[in-house]
Parts: sequence; structure tokens; C-alpha cells
Amino acid sequence: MMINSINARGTANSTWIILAGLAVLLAGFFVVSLQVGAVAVSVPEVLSIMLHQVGGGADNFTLQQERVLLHIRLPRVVLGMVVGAALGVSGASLQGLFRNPLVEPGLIGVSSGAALFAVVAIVFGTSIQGIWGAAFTSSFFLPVFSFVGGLVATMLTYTLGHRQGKTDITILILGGIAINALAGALVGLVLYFADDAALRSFTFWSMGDLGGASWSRMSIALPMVLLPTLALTLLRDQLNALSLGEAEAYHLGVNVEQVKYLVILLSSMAVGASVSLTGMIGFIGLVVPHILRLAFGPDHHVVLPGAMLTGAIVLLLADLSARTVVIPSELPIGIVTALLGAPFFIWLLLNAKKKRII
Amino acid sequence: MYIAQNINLARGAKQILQEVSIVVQPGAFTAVLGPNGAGKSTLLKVLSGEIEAGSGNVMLNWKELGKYKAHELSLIRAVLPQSVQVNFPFTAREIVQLGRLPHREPRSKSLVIANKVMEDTNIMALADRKYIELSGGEQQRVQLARVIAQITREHKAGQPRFLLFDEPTSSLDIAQQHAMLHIAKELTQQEEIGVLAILHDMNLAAQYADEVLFMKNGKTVAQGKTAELMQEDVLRYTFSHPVQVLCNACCGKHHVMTMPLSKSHLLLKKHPLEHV
Repeated sequence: MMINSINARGTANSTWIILAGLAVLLAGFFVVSLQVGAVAVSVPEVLSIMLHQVGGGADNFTLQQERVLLHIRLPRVVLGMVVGAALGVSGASLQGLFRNPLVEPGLIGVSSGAALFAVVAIVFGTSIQGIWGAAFTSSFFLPVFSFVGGLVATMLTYTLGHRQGKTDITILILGGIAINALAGALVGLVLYFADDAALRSFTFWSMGDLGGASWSRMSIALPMVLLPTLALTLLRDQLNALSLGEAEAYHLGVNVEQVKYLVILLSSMAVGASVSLTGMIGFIGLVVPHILRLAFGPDHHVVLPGAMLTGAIVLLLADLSARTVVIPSELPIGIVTALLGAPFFIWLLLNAKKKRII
Repeated sequence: MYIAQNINLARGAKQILQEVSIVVQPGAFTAVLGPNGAGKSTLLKVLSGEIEAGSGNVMLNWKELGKYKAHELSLIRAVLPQSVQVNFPFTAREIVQLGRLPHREPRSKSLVIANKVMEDTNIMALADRKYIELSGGEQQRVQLARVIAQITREHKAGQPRFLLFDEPTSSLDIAQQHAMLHIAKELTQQEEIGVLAILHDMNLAAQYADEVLFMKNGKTVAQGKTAELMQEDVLRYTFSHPVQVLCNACCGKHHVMTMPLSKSHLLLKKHPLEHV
């Protein structure tokens, strides 16, 4: 498939074949993920539970299976897919925008800004009495709060990187480093005042966790992740043009400043909301676009929607191993993605060095 | 027609362009010549719409440049920079295909046009190679094909189109330099495209350009027919260097010889750069 797709690159057909293949793969892992866990649910049982939900008459399953599937496993798997998709496509579009294959969403300060606001909410939320305290620590407000944090940090980075009405990428990245360092220091400072319970809850959050998935918690945050994720995949032509350079993209009729603004805003929305739902999950945004470019070439018509699908696949796989490796307990998913992602990234670096791509 | 009138542009306290005017006719090859720092590239950026002039106005096909949307502009003018660095492993064909982006056409169609342009510019052999792995000269030829693809249209009718070249030949060998300028010249003659090229080599300008614009210190020295302007005093003043202009016997064009600095020049003038 790989050889064929390279020969046929640049045609619309091959793009659709690749994306359809990835979608089928995702559907497969989706079904597998629903089956596997402490309570076994087979494929026919999954189907009949689904059928039952939409009014079908199937009933060859237990009540426990239905509860586990609908209220624990399904929200978790959906959350994993959406967050994986958001991280994948954000990484791909930021790499395209910065014309640099080593960029990841963390670089513009989204993750650390979201983390800072989350830790503030977790640590000080419990000490504030009354309505505000309850609001801070509620599963409803924590995502919103850390989403705002991610957005604030990104906006600061973006403003720092602005010069004479244009975005200077080098200054932007340096600004991101500064904002990340500052947010990291502030997180440390806040943690200094934290009690044991808050510390423990932050530790889990910072390692990434899909365990807390529930429909009520996701009802607000999920659209906040999904909409910008889908919107980013529409910027394929613009990002293709930008790979020639900013001036060249302008000569090709692309409104470069608008695209920059859109990519930064949309990816920080997607990542900020993701971080708020699941904590810090590293390496997906960095590694997923590389997998796609290695397999199918750098065309954003494939890479952007492909990164969405592949990000979802990779996160489902990571979650599957996080849930099954140490049964009946589970590993934080951020550890799994880093354990898989870091060696892969080192391999990428060595490969790129050999081929003199970097 | 491209008409720029009395363009002024300052960056900080430094006046980069001072009352520069230029006309680029469709179907003509216009070369811009001048020493480093004369403001040639800045002038090209003003004409392409990339930067705005401080004062003065630029008209393209009888409409103010500032009134065009980026997309409208991209259908009638393309820009070939000195070099384009691409960090992702696109093939040469994909790079050429990117030139079709403004046309918003199906990819199967842009592929056909990209292939045709690559045939015409004689780079079919590079088509499936990775752009990053090509030499500087090969990359430049791929970029030429890309900008030609950008302003290729199927029907002859429509507004006049323009190609702006910023020192296109700097990474090419002698044969490639001539090949590129020959292609540009043919585009002016067969497609009625207006070409504006910043050139360093006065002889290439003498051989290919219909018109020349000389610039120095951000000001226009002269614009006119190449045959009339390729004069020793104009060149000597523009480049602050002694030259001799011969008549080239084989093709009837001027041939410019740059002279080595002799002792008498050094004695006469304190510094060779002050020689006027």
C-alpha cells in the first residue's frame, strides 16, 4: 500500500483511499477497545447493547455489561479518540505553520498554561469555601478553567511573537519557551502550598488520565475539542502553500497572517480543552504527523485528516495498553505515550540525521 | 501593465527607496540592475504586494495594487525568489503542483498542468525526486516551473500576467542561466507575459532584456531600451566601477567588460568605491 500510494501521490483518489483505510483501522480499534477490560464484553454483545439503546429488541447481555459499556468504557474510548485526534491534528498543523518538523503543541505554551490554571484550581479550590470553592473543584469547571489558562498562555506567546503587525516565528518560539518556564515555575510555587490530597490529584493529572471520563464532564469540553480539531483540517491548501515559506504562500494568494492566527488559536483551543479533560499527554502531537509523512508523504490533504485519525488510533492503542498491562490496576496514559513516543522520536532523529533531513 | 510611480520607502531612519518609478509592459522583459543595497529587492517586494510603499502608488492593469486581494493577485502575478527552502519531503512534482493552488481546480487537473509545465521547462527527470535532495540549481528550476504553472491559463483571454524574478540565476551554472532566461524570454514573446527580473550579470541583461532599469542608493538612475541604455557612463555611474562596452559581433548586442582597478584609478581617487 505504501509503495502504491507513493506512486499515486498527488491524486485525489489515493488521498481518499489512505483516509478510508485509516478510518477502518480506527473503527477496528474502537470496537476492540470497547471489548477489552475487567468486564468482558464481546462484539455481538457490544452491538446488541448499542441496538438496545436505539430501541432495538436485543437482550443477550447482562445489566452490568450494559452499565460498564455505556457509562465507563464508551465515554472513555470516545474521550481518547477525540483527544488523540485533537493532539494529532494540532501537532501536524503547528509543524506545518512553523515549517519545522520538531514543533509540538506544548511549544507555544498551551499545555503549561492549562496546567498552571488547573493546579491553581485543584490546590486553592479546596481551601475556598462556599460556591466558588465548589465551582473550582467541580468536574465541570476544571476543564473550562484550564482551557482558559491554555488560551491565555498562547495569547501571551502570540503577542510576544508579534512584530510590526507580523508574527515572527523565531521570537514566537522563544516566547513560548519563556512562557513555559514561567508557568512551570508558578506550578511549582503553587504545589509548594498544596496539601497531600491536592498533590496526589495533580500528580495523576500531570501524567495524563482518561479514567475520569463521564458524559456529564465531557458535555461541554468535547465540542470545545472537536470543533477546532475539525476546523484545522480545512487549512490543508494554506499549510501546503506555507511549506514554501511565508512570502511564497502570500504570492500564491494565501492570507498568511490570517492562517497563522487561525492555526494558533484553533490548536490552542483544541489542546487546551484536551489537557483540561485528560491532563498532559505528551508525544502524540509530535510523533503522529511524522508517522503520516513517513508513510504517505508531506501533503497536508493527507497529513491533516490523517493526523486526526491516526492520533485517535494511537491514543486508543496507548489507552488499551495502559488498561491491560497492569490489570486490574492501570497506568497513567501519559506515561505510556511517553514510553512509546520518546524512543520512536529518538529513532526519527537518528533517521533524519542520517538522511540529512534536519 | 505594471506602473509604479514615485515610490518612497523608509525603514527607520534609512531611506531605502526614493522616488522610484518603473513601468513593466506585458510581453516585455525588463531587467533591474544596480549594486548591492540599491533597493532592487525592496522594489520587487513593493511591486509584488508583499510590502507596502511609504508613499507613491503602484498600478497593476489599471487598478491600484492595494485594492487587489491576495488571491486575485496570485492569478496574474507570480514571484520567483532567489531560493526556496522546503523542510518537508515534497517531490519536485508536488512543488510544481503547489503553483496551481490559486486556481482552485481538481487535483487531477493541476497534475496535468504541472506535468505539462515540467515538460516545457525540461525538468521531467527531476519530477519524482525529493525537492530537499536536489542541488540549488535544480531547486531553482523546479521553482521556475512552479511560478510558470501558477500563471498558466487555458484560455488566452484575460488580464495581462506578470512574472517577477529576484536574482533568479544566482545559483545556476552558465548553461542553466541561459536556459532560464531563454524560457522567460519565450514567455514574454509567446504568452504576452511581462517579466521583471533583478539581474546581477550585465551581459545577461544586455542579451535578454528589452528594457533596463538602473538603480543606485534607492533611486532610479535611468529606465529605457536596453540597446540605448547600455552605455559606459551609465554603467560606470551605477556600479561605481570602470567598464568598457563593446559591440558583440555575433548577436549584435552590447557586451560589457568590467575593468580591473589600475594604479591610476587608485591614485586618482582615494577609494575605489568613490570612483564615479
